Amino acid sequence: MLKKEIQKNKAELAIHILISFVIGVYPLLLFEFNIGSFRIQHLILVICALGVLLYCFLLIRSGEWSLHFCRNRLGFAIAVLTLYVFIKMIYKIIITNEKNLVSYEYEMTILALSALFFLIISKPELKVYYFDILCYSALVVFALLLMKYFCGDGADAVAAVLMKDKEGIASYTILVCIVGLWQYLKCKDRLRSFFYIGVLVIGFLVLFVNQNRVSIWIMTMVFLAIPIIYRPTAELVKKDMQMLFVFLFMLCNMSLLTNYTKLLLVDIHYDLEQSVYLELLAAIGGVFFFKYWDRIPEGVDLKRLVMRRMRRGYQFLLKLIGIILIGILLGGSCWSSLPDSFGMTAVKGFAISLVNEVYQGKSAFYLCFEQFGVIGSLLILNVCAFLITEVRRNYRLDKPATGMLTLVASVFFIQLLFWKVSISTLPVYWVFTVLAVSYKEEKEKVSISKIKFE
Amino acid sequence: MKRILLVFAAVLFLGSMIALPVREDELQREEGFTELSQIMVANEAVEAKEIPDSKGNTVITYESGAYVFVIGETENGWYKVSYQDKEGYVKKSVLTVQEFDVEGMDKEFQEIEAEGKLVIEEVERYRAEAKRSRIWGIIIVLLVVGIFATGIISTTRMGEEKKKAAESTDLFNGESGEKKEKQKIGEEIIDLDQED
Repeated sequence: MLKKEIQKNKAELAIHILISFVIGVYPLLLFEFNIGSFRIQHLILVICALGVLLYCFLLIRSGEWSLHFCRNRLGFAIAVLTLYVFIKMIYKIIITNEKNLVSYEYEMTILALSALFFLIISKPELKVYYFDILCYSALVVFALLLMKYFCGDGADAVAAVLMKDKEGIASYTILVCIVGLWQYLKCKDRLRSFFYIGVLVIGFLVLFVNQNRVSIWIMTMVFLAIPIIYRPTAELVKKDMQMLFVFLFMLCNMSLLTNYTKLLLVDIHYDLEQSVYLELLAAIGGVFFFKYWDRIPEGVDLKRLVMRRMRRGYQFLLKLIGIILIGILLGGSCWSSLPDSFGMTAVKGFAISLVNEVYQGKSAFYLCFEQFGVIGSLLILNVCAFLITEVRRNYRLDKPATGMLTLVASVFFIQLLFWKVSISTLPVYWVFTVLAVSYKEEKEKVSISKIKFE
Repeated sequence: MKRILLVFAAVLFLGSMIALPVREDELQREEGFTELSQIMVANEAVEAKEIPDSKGNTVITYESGAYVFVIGETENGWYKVSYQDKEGYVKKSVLTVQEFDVEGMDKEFQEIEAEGKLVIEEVERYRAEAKRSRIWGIIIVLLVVGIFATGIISTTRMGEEKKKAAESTDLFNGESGEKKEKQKIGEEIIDLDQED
């Protein structure tokens, strides 16, 4: 019995180490190095994931560990996809001429992600230190990026993979900002809060200097989604708003930084007029927010005070900016024919650059069809559909950690519509998405009491 | 007084002795030779002779269009030219005076000067940028290390506090304080908008 327990712990430990590695160390492997036709990133991911899976298989043989393969339709769909990719890979190896170097990167990635899925789903556990590891690791990546932006050198050799991939930077930064924000919202220690604020501020700066408009839009949506996904206590809303105003403040001042100083050594431009309109919008939003905030009676514990109407307001705003984004994208090239009247120049400038950016990017779904053909893509889309269903099923308002994982998974799926997620970030998103599907969190028990107004 | 006059006469004599060879040289040059010191251009391939005579030994050879430094001219139709410590004579007919576009040259010099200034400015700018880069590098590293340290310190501190809290609660009722607090908060959520 004791031996069984130790073996089980060994497997669990191996999975935790693998997850920690994928979240904390793997995104730091940003240098370019090829072994044959394989990039080092793919090779390490496959070796680590399949290595741990093999280790767990050895424990299954002795009957001391169990992997839940086809526990549900999602597991079955992923097993089918893995089988298809495996067969395709073998077929590729057989038909390929010896002289030609064929890339198996995508197949290997799918195999590694499948292995990660089966490992996590066998014993889904979420450790708080996963988020902290990501924050610490992100600081190193952000330092390299800031060196590039402000000093113009140093980071190219070390972080070549990330430097070439603007979408990759955006994707990674959004993830870190979501995790940092969640940690900040839940943090009770003052000193610790400063750490998360530091991570967030640097993350925002990287996000703005990277100037991927879609990522900025997604991040704004994240701020608005937080009081919807979690129970909107006054404390949570306050902290969320603090960070939203920091975000907007930095965004509005980017035009000053780029147009009136030579601090940044990268070629970016923020329109001054757009910044002014954004500031106006933020000021109007602030008026409404503080008007509602004044309703809170004195002496009430903000951690226990729930603001349902505020939640409805956020829902409305989230829908509004979602519709605006869709409207802008559907508008396509028509935006350039807008007249240059008052306010229109700013709207036109923003819409055109957003549309161009979206149309220039290669979406992950396009990449699926390009790499895996129709059958493979249908299998992948099937997996995505099951994932979304399972994430929705697992999410509840009284499960805060699951809510956070759901938010990461949602952002992951939205990103797939616009660009392919970088190999450095994809496993991290995948780990959180699988946890969002499988993590069984204990529900928070709450009873609502009426507030007495004077 | 006599001694002074004697010394004065001696100085005069010595001075005239030193000046004499120079004077003699000048006199020699002045005889049928006019100094020019100017640059001319060879109309054709030309050979400079040792003496102002076609039969003289060739000392220097110039190609057509070559620039020739002319020291002076002789009365019998020859130019005295010089090239790398060698001197020779060339017929006047094969050399023409090089006319310089003074304004153009001035402009060219100004341009060269401006280019030089630009290069210096560029070098200065690079130096300033390198300095600024170094400063920014230090700031970024300090900032990141500072945030990193804050995280590490707060983790350590929180761990210690948790340990202490766990120890103190275990002593009294054997239940962790955090769990109890969570339960307490969970039971008493207040809805601000319930009256609506």
